[in-house]
Amino acid sequence: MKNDTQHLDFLISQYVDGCLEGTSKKSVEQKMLADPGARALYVEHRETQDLLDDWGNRIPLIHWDEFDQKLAARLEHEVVGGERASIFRRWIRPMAAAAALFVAATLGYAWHALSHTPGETPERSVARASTERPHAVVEYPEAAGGNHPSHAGVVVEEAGAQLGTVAGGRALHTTIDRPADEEAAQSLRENVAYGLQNVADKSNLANTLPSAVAVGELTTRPASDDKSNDAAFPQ
Amino acid sequence: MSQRLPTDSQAQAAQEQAALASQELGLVLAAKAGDRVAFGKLAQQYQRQCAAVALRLLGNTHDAAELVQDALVKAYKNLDQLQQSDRFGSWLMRIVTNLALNFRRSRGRRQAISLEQPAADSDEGEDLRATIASGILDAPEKPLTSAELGSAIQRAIDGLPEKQRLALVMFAIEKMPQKDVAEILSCSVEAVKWHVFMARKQLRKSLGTYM
Repeated sequence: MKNDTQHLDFLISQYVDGCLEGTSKKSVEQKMLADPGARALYVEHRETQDLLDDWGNRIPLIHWDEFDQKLAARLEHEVVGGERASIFRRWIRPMAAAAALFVAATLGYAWHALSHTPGETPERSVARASTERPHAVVEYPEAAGGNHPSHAGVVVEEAGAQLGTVAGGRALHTTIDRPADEEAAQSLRENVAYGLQNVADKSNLANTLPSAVAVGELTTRPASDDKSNDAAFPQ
Repeated sequence: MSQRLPTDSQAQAAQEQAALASQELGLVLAAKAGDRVAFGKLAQQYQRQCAAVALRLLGNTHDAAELVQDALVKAYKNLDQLQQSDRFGSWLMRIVTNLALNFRRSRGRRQAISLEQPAADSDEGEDLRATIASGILDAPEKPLTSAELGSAIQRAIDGLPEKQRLALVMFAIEKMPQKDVAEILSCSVEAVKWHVFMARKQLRKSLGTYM
């Protein structure tokens, strides 16, 4: 019974909204003619809808000219902003990426170049090579001198352990026999540099060096006592 | 058995409607291609209806106007997402209703926070608070003014469930086609009818003594 009433109520609601046609519409009209309850439901819906219609007829008090101007300005802003974003997307962003790549490549190249500068002092190469490889031979062409037969070289030791040798001959060689730490290799480099700067006869460097320098724990002795090393020195 | 033939006036109305639809489609396509003037025409075509719906949902003319501005800008920015170019109106109204619902939710949160501090710039929708405070609604024998009745209706609509409120505002008040309302609410036309029916019943219950 309740469902029937609700169904009728729903139909009357649609009738008020003008959504019924044909037989459905006629059926509801006949029901309202015969049934006071149906008419009462119709009145309820009609009154409520009339109230809503009346209320809905109130037009929002908006200044439409002002509204249009403001909207046009906002759309203009959006377009300009959009174009700027588009330019950014299309040009600036790729250019920035390219610039970043260029900077990265330049830095990488610079780093690489500094690591392998041709004019770099050979002593530094000794130091670097010594930390990277257990056995490194670095030539000092500028130290090339005569081929003195006594140039057996100088052994550089550190706390009794042989760190390297400095040999004379056609070219001066420094050999690091074991992975020296940076500091030790640096000391060795300084020794050799000192010798290169202060010994006039580079070919005699090997003989001069032991008495010329003593840095830290590094000690030197003539290699003539240690013939086993000579074979390792290229002449 | 025999199908009724449309009368001349019906046929003419259908032709005019088709011409309008075609014109609107042209504007939408032009706007999609970046024609701001075409979008401006579309905006002028729909902004009053959008404002009316926004006003019924928000109860405040200033907020409604701002919301419609936002909706139109959003529509302009997202025109490329409009799949069916011939459904611009309902698509725009969906944006309006979504923004309105979001606005109501955020406003509800703000009001919940500042419950102890009534806003100083209370607008038309806020008048109901004063109306209730003055006891007018508790004294039905005292006739309500138009503004007070309007506030009472707004309050009753605000109290409806979301879909009932939207269906009532768009269909029963703004007279939008049920099909469009169904599309905006993502439901069937029958569901729209039911929402309107239930909303009107509830509204009568809320306003019964003043009708």
